[in-house]
Amino acid sequence: MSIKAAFASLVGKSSYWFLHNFRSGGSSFPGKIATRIDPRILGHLAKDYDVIIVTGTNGKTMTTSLLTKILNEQYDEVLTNPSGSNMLQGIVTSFLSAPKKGKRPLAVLEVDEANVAPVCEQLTPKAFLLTNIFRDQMDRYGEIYTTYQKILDGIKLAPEATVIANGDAPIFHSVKLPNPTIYYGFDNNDDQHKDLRASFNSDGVLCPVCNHILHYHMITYANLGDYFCPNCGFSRPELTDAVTAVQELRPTFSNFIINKQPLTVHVGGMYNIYNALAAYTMANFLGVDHDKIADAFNYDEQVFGRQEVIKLNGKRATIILVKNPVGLNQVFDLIKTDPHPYSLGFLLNAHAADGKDTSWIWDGEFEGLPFADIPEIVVGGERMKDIQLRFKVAGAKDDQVVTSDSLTDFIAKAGQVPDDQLYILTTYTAMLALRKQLAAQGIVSAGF
Amino acid sequence: MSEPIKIAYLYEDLMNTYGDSGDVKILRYLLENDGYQVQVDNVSLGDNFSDDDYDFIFFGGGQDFEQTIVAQDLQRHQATLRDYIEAGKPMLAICGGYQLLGDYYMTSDGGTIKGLSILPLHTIFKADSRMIGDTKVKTPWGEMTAFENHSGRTYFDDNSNLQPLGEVIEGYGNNPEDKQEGVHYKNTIGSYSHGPILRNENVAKAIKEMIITNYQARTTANKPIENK
Repeated sequence: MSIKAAFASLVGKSSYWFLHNFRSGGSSFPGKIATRIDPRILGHLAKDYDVIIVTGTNGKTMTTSLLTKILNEQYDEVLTNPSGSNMLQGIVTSFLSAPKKGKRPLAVLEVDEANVAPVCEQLTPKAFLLTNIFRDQMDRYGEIYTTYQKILDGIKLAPEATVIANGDAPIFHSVKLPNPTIYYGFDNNDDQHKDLRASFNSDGVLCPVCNHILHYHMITYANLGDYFCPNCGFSRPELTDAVTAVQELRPTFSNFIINKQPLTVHVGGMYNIYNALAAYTMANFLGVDHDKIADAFNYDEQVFGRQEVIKLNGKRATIILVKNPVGLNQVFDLIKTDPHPYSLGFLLNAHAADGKDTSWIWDGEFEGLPFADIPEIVVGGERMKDIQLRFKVAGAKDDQVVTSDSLTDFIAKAGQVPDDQLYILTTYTAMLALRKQLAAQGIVSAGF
Repeated sequence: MSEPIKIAYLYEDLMNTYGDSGDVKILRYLLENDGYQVQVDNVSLGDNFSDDDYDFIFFGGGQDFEQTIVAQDLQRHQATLRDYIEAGKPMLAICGGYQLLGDYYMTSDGGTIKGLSILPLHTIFKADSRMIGDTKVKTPWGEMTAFENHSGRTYFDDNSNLQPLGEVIEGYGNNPEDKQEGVHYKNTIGSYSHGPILRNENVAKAIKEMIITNYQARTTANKPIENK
């Protein structure tokens, strides 16, 4: 390590130590200051690590935490970065705060799509794990092809790294890479004669070879599935690891089969089966055997930061972060698997972290909600009028949608819905504000 | 069962970004509240359609790549769409759909994509200065708010024939210079307003009325109405 790097590392580590001990928790600050002293500090810090990069629009956090849990069963030391620290400086901070390295340390990094290339300029990962690419806060990220190009710019810097990608996503089959490539996907369709088209509101449905509209033998959700082009014959690549059956879907767990073996994850939603499959495939590639993966999945713990359960006036309230149409539709599908009655809450803000453009809610399939079975929908947030109109247009009755004039009011009204449970969907800054207010009212402890 | 109000949604499966499908959802909601049945047809690559069959045409924005594919296929419908628009039937075109009603758009690398040449306007893409943010526009039906997100700058080539949809109070609109947003020609509206635009009740109601008038003309006389 050069003197500059050593100094950067020392300053970064001591600032982490200070923040960690005298302030609540770290931040990206240590990474920021260390990067300022030595812009290439990440390369030095990560030198002895085997690095796995997890990236994509949706599912990065869940996939990273599942994968970390699995690898903890096999490796002595697995470094990972907390959700929300997935840009260069946050990643540097994670290395600065890591305990002393063991013999063969491994790092599982959740990396923001636009930060894959900057990270790969400093370290060469052993493998990439790609979840999916959907349109996401287009005022920030741009279009799906731009996003994929940003990821490819990073992959190109590591041509020997193995790329493990979602085989059900046509975009991941659109560019020929020199890298060894492994695909995972769903293979639970017994009728290969089916000829389907994605919902008209899906994006990325053009054949990358001939620009005709892709058809499907099977669709899991959005534009994911067993696609084929009726014009030129382009089709899904061969899958190495596959979900061959989905046995049970509930809001709090899913039972399914990968490579002929039954598995359970304690979190609902088809999208989380994809995340589990992605983690499984990477673990399989790293040589972890099936039983260890099953044990890690089955370990009952709330690792799922985007889905939290609190008690609100005696009612069970599940708080779920929403940020783009595909994610939102998946949350709707998850809620619909609940056999018990529920009410809804929705908080909509429009800051940079939420997406300044609230129009994405119109691409969500609110029309598919079982309004006749949902007694109340409490709406709030700075853009309440937009979400109120969205629910009305989708089919909610005027008196079914309850408005709130502040977060306190929202919490009070959410605590008084007729059912024993409710789902509160919220954008990012509204979620932070809600947590703060819940803590201020003593409903949850601060800093959860 | 009475004849439904029929909406052609051009390239719904390709030109569907930025929540513009909300415009069609809102119109359906308003029309159904008024007692009409509504049918929405996706007219996509290779599909045929006849302008006499529809009471309203919607053409949304898409990703740049999808838009280039649509621009090629769209030429098959040039005469159909021209006749429809010139007959004074209602159409709403947002962002990419709006740009394609014009003569051409020039991409950031200097390439030119041919439009329908129905409205005398053109668009120049400037990738390095995207116009993103909330907008406020004064329209003939009152103020409206929206969200714009475009790198295309649209210019009218015949100001005597084209009216803007409104005057920009906040944001950019067609381009950074003119302080005008969108186009209003007969009963066709082109606009950069996402949000969707029809969350503005005043604009939604105006378009709804145009659709009902056209529907009544189609179902009673089965001939095109004259431009008002």
